[in-house]
Amino acid sequence: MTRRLLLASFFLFLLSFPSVFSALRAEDTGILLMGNVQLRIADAFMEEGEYYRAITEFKKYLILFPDSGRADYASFSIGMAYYKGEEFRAAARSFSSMRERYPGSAHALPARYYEGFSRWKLKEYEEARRTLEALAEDYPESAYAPRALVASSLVALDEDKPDISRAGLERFVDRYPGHPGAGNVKEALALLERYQDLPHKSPGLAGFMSAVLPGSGYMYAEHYGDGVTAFLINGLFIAGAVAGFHQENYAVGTIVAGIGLPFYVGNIYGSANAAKKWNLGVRNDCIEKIHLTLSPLFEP
Amino acid sequence: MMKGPETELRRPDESAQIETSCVRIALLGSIKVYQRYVSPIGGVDRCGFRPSCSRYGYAAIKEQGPIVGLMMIGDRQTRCNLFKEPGPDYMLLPNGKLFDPVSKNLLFGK
Repeated sequence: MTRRLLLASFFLFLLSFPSVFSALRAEDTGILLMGNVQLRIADAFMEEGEYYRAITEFKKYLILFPDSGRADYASFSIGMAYYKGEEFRAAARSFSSMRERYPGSAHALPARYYEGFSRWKLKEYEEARRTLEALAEDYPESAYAPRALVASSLVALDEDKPDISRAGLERFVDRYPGHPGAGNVKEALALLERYQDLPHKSPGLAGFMSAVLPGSGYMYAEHYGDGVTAFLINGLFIAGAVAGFHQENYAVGTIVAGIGLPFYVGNIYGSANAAKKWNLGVRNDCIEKIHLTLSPLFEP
Repeated sequence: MMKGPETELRRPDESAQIETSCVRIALLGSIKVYQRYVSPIGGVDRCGFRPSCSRYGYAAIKEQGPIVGLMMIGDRQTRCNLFKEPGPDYMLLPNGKLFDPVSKNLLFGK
C-alpha cells in the first residue's frame, strides 16, 4: 500500500515537471517592461550622448505610459536631447509643446529657458529675448530668472540693441544685488558703456579717399600693405593709360585703362569694405569680452 | 552632431541653374579658360588664399553679378600681395593658406 502511494506520488511529481518547464518558458517569451526601466534606458542613451536613440526611447515611454506621472520629464528630455544634439528647431518645438501639455510641471520652467536658448541659437533674436524676458518677469524668484535676464541682455546685444541690453543688466543689479554673478554683470555694464562709444571708421570716407588717391582708403582702415599695393597697381595702370593717350596710341591706352578699371573700382570697394571690417572687428571684440564676462552666469 | 531624418533630407541644389546673362557667361567663361590653360603654366596651387583668386572671382560673379563681381575681383587681386598674413581678417588653414571666401567680403551684406 505504501509502495503504491509512493509510486503514485512519484508519478505525480514527474507529471508536474512539464508544467513547471512550460511556465518557465512562458515567462521567457514575455517582457515585463516597467516605466522606470524604460526611462532608465532612455537616460542611459542620453548620458552616453546617443541623443537620437534617447529621443526614440523617451518617445516609446510616452507611447507606453502616456498617463504616467513622469511623462512631463520624458517630454522635457526629448527637447533636451534635441538641444544637446544641436537640432535647435526641433528642440524649440519640443519645449513649446511640452509647456503647452504640462503647464504645471516642474520642468515647464527649464523648458521655457531652453526654448529661449534654442531660439537664440536659431538667431530668432526677438522671440528668444521675449521668451527669456517673460521667464524672468513671471518667475523672478526662480533660479532660472537671473540667468534668463543675463541671457536676454546678450540676445539684445546680438540684435545690436545695446540700450535694451543695458536695461536688462541694470534690472539684474537692482533685483539680485547679492547674486554671486553681480560683479560680472557690473563689469559687463562698464564694457557695454564702452561698446556704445566705440571708435568708428566711415566706409564712405574710405571709398572716397581711395577714389581720389588709390590705396589711401585702405591706409585709413589700417590695411597698410593693401594700401601700398593698391597705390602701386593703380599708379602703374593710370600712368600706362595716360602715356598711351598722350602718345596718341589710343588702342593701347584704352586696353590698359580697361584692364586697370576693375583694379580702380576694386580699390574703392575694398577700401570701404576694409573700413566696414575694421568696425566689425572692434565691435565683435567688445561683444566677445561681454559674452566672456557674462557666460559663466548662464552656461547650462 | 546628431544625425537624424531632419538632417538627412535631400534638398534641391539651388546653384544648379542655367546661366542666361551674356556678360556673366563671357566673364565666367574667361575665368574657366584662365583656370584651364593659363594658370597651370606657372605651376599649380600658387595662390596664398583659399578659395584661390580665380575660384573667388568665379564665385563672386556667379553670386553677386558682373558689376559687383568685377569690383570684388579687383579688390582681391589687390589684397593678394606680399603683406597678407593670418589675423582677424584671414584665418590660417591647416594647408597654410588663408581663408577668404566671397561671403566675408560683401560690402552690402551683414
